[in-house]
Amino acid sequence: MRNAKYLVALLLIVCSLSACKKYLVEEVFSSSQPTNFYMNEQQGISALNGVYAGLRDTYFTYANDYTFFSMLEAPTGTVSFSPGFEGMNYSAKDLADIKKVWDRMWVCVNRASMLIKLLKKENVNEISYKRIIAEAKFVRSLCYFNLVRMWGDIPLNDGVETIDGAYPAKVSQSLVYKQIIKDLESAAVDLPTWKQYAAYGNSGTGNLVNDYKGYERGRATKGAAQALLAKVYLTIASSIASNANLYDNAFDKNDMYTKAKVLCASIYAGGHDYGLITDYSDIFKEVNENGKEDIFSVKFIEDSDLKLGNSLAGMTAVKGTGILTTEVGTLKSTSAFLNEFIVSDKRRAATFFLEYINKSNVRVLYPAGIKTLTFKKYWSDYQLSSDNIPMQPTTYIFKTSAADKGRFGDDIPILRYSDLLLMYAESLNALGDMANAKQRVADVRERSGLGRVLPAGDLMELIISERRRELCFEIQLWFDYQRLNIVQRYRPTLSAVKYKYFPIPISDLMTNPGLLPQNPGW
Amino acid sequence: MKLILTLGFNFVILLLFSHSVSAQKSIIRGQVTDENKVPLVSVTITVAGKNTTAITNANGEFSIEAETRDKLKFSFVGMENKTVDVNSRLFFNVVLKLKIENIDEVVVIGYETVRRSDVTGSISKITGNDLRKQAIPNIVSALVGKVPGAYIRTTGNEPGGANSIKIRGLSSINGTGEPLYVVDGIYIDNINFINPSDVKSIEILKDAASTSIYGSRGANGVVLITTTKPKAGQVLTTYSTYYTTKYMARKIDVVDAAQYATLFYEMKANRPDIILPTVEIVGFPENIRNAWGKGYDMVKESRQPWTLQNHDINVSYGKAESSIGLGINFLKDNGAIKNQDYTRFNMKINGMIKPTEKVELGFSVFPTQYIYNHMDDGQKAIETIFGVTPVTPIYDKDGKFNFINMFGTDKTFENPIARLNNSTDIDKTDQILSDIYANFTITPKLTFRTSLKYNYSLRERLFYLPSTTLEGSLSSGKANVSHLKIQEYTNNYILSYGINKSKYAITMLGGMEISEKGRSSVNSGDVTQFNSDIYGPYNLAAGASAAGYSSFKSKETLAGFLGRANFKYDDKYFLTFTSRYDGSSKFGANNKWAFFPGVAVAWDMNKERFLSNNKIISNWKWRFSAGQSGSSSILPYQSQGSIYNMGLSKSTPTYAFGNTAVAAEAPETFSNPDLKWEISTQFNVGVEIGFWGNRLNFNGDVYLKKISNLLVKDFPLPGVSGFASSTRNGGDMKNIGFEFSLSGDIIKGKKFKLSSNIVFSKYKNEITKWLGQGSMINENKYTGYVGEGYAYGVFWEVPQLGIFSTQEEINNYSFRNPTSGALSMLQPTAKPGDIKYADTNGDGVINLSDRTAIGSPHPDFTIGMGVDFTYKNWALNIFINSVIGKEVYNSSNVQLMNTSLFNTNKYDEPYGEATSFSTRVLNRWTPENQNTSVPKLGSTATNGLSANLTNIEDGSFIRFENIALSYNFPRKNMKGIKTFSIFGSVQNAFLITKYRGTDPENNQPEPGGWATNQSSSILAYDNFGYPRPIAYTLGLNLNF
Repeated sequence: MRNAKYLVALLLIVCSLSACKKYLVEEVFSSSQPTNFYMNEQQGISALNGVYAGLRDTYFTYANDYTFFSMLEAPTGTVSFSPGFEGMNYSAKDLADIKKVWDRMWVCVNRASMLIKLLKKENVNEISYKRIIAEAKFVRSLCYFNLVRMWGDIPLNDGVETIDGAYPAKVSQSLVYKQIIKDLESAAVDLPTWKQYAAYGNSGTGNLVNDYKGYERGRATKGAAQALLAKVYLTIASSIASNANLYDNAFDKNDMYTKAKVLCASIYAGGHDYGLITDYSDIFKEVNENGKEDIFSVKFIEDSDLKLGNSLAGMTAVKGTGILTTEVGTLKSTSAFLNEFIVSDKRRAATFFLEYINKSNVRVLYPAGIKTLTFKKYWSDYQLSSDNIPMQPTTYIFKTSAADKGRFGDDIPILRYSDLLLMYAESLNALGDMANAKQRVADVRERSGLGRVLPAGDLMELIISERRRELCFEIQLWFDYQRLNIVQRYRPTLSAVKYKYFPIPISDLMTNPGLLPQNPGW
Repeated sequence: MKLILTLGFNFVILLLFSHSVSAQKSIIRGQVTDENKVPLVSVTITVAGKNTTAITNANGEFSIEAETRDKLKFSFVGMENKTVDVNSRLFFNVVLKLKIENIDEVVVIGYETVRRSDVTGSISKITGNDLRKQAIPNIVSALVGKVPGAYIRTTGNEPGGANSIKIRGLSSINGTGEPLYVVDGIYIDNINFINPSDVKSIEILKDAASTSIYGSRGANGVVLITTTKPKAGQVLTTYSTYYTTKYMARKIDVVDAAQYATLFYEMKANRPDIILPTVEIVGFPENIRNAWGKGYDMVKESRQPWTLQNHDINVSYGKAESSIGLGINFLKDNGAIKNQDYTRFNMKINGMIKPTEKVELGFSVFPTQYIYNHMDDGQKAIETIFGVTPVTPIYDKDGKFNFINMFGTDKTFENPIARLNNSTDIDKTDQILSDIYANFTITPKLTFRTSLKYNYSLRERLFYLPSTTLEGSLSSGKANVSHLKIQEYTNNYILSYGINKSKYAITMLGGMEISEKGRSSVNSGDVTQFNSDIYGPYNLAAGASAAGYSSFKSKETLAGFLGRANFKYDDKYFLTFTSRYDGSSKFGANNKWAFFPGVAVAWDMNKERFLSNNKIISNWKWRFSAGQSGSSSILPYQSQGSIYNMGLSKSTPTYAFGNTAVAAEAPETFSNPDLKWEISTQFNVGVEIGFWGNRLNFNGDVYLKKISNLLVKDFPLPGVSGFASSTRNGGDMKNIGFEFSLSGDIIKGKKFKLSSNIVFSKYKNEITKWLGQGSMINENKYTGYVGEGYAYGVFWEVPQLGIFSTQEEINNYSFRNPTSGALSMLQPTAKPGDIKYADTNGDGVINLSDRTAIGSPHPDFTIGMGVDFTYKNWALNIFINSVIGKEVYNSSNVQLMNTSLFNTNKYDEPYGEATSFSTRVLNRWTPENQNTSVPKLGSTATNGLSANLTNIEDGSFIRFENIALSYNFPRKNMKGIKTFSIFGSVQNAFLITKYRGTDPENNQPEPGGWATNQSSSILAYDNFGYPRPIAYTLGLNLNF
């Protein structure tokens, strides 16, 4: 028995509780923790890039998921898609896809909120800190703006650090808009203009360029924040004016119109060097991305393996032309919409895929039938003839093999200068300044080859129809229908209250009762 | 015969005569052999009461001096001692019998063994011999239906396929939910690689008083596997082999080309809104569609001979002070699908040495290599093969693989046969399990044991798609190579102390154990743009483009203190206390440690006076136990939160500014410092009753198992949180169950024997608490639901009431508003041939709020029944298994029963994924065929409901699992051969079921069925599961 005592003592020495405590400390090798991240500028920039990646995922993902596009374009009547999305009569699969979009938007919001909340200010250079926070606020605002327009009342996510924060409850739309306005106002102060931007460069990479078309091309700018804020004001104002939404009387219509006008005016005044690109069909070309006309867009680059490319071209490529290897052709335009463009409107040929050049270098009028009509706003990165006609390749010689798969670098435009001009015109018109309003509409029409003389009739109606032709397939029209209360005009079957907002994913209602009630009618 | 009688008579005369000669010293000679007449060397012969000893020589012969009244004692390790009276005999032929360690008498209970009669907990034991009655390459499948309270099944029938053991209902919804496997004291995750012929016994610990000694690892039950060890005094060589051929037992019938034509054009007419890429199918013009014929049969083209062969050689040699055993096993299992196979090569080396009386040192090493070839691709291929229409050519005109789809315009069809033939997909694991131990007998009462166990495995995946496949051609070859290394150390120190008095006995055991598990992996990512296919995955530098390379490392530690005390009084009353105190690195700082106690009492009532002389009842024992065990089966770092380095990896692309991709990071999980152990508390009452000298035995248990703080890996979070899910202690669950086995030796004749065995299990699972409201488990995959008051994983759908056969039926299907009394149609937009749904909540609207539990993945009960017949040297074993009252989500219907949309091409989103139809669709609703259960082609539904039939099907079945016949050759005429037997068996001989998939037990919890890290969160999900074959086996066993 004496031996046993020694053994017991030995056991206790081998693993006394304190030794065990140390033994049980969890060693981490391959990831950071929220507690040791957001600590310096490099990490801040890296997290900010994650926020942008989240934004991209909402619009279009590498998995060829373009549900966001379908949700907002199919009900406008300009795109022929699956019956479920066109008629907002969703199948179980459609609802599952909508849930993905909803989730991705909130992932982006949460990433931004975490960064805004946790980035350690004292460790980051002041200018960089302001810029990082302002960019994050811009992206978050854009997400909130989309969310509130699509789903109505939504929660605010302030960055989920523990489980307690994971169940935010819905707040009223006016509160969401107030948050958006607050964020964009501060972002508009702190963000540099697109011309100033490049001076900061990207810390640590040494890729400093003096031209904005360099390394940092595509980040949020002062102009972007101002233009988005203008759009927010105008959305509120016009919704109140059209009785589409009164926002619990939290906003004053004229105040909102005025603020929109002031912002548009300041951008128009030229501080940022924005302007219209002469030829409409050049707008979407790579050389013009993030430049004079492109105030903000979601960036894609031509890419084979990293999957940063945009394959909306493949989605719109009609089968059988031989232009792309992957011709999915599920997104098509309606012929009725094509007929809204007069032939002399330069936007007609630039927007629609009317002909292509085959292998024998012969122009083929296309499409053969009305059902296969398609649009080519996301084709500008493709090998085009001098007059912007897609060519069937003799051999598949593209810039990279990625293009072969239909993955192009075309950005998805969010804010364009011509949009801003029309917003300016709309707010001027609402505030009674018809003369200046007409001039801004004329700016846009002139570029399209329609001259500066405006047709007779109601100016607001003209603005609506200009927006329709100028901004089609750019995820704008459905929001216009809603804020201007004109759904009845274009999609009478979707004019019921039910179709004003999308259904909140039912699984979210199950896990988070704070989201109840479901939007009416769903 | 006459000669023998004469000789015998003479012998008796001789004996009688010699008896008269007494007390005379003489030299006695003789030979000692074993039962097989093999001479035994070094047998010790002693004259009782004297110092005279002798030893047998190489021929087993001996000579010794003794007197007529002396007794000679023969002893030899591993043999039963034998004593003979000398009388006046001068020559002895002595046969020593092998000492049979009656393994049934000893039960392994974790860290020690006890006599079966002393067991206090609920433990089932299966011997190696029971396992080997069937020629089944893995031990889990061989256990099917044999363990009361365990739901054991083969979930994947692919070569080297996966199995599942669930002890006493669903115990955990995180991790695998599988029990802890302990092979000779070594903890492992997967026992698929273990060769059944190495198994001596398997003990399954079911109640918490038994499992609490394993503390944090024991919540799902414990399976203890003891492998065979060389026996002292024995030189044994065994060889066994078998060969199996397998045939398709059931298949899914798909339409042929002519039938497809009818459906194709009907769907086209019913859904004019769907745009087809072109109007006509190449080679199958519409106007002659009656002449389409059979078309192409991709299923037939994908097959290869489906066989399995197994070889085993074992050699063991043992003496009292040392022993060694060597074993080699080779198994080759060919899949049903081209180029798909599984190869396993096992070695077993174990040995022991006793340098002194008090010290024993030993080791075991199990090196194993197993290789899955084309397993993942094969599984995918099944899905793809069934998706291909019968009008899509497999080969083109030149006899090469065709990649052009049915419409002949797009190159978007991945030919699965081309993929199987041309690509490389090897998944290879090299693994070593090892154990060294030392036993010290300090005093006869006190022993100390320490052991160090080390597991190492390296899994290597080699993947290459050449340009002769569609996917490979798009990227000019595509390679991926990855390595995963797992290392685990376990070190324990156990002290045991025992007192054994005539009236009572006490044994005590205490000790500690620490373990550490590290994982590290390297993955090449996808390497593409090869200028030649000749290298395959073996020269990544030949690929011009690489992306998504990654590496990873993790570590987890566990420390535990354990103790047990067994008290026994009068061989009637038994008491066991168990405790374990475990700490895991994986939990939050305040929740690292947990205490798991257990107590068990047993009463051998049969030994009481009132029963001891009962002529009918020969055994009656009660067992009562209560205890706790836990689960920590989550990945490390779940309590800390993490920031995900998105890097430039392929799966999570980052963002680009200008033309440059940038690095990005984002929150992956948030921290959860309150994350803690899942605790399983169990109460058990058991009874064992034997009748007529234990010719009939009943063994039954009733239990209540409560699992609190359920660890849920993918606890769904609302999307607004920005996270899809997190690991949480998500709720509580309970299982109430009842299980029994009844076994009887019905006929016990000399030549003819008949015994039978019935095993019954039943449990009822219920989620008793769930955080928040209920939620769908994996909405994108199936309709399983978890919510308070329901069993975990019930299928949550709006009930279907059949098909509207006429418009009148639709008009009559209405709702009366209880306040206004107004009538309104419930499905106003429905058309004849659409599905009729139930308005379960009675609100007048049919939508997703009408979902309710329409089926359960949990069986009502399971019964296994075995019958053994023996006649002379023949033995026949029949085993029937049945699972009653469970439903299965038959996901193959998603493709083959999609009557609502027109499926033209797998890649042709959003029109669906399937391209072919089940023959059941031929019975669809048409104006001419109104009374049917299949909706019309192009049927529609609103409000997010499905327009297709539900995928939930009845999964009950009765299966003739195994019929085996064996013949033992009589030993006569077999020199040097100890035993020789041949056997033949049929597995899965008959299956009675209503299930329409290939097998009702298929389950693919995670994609790629064979993966070992399956999660148990998805139950009863069958997506083109590998068909279960009818398997015919022939084999032989040879011992010499």
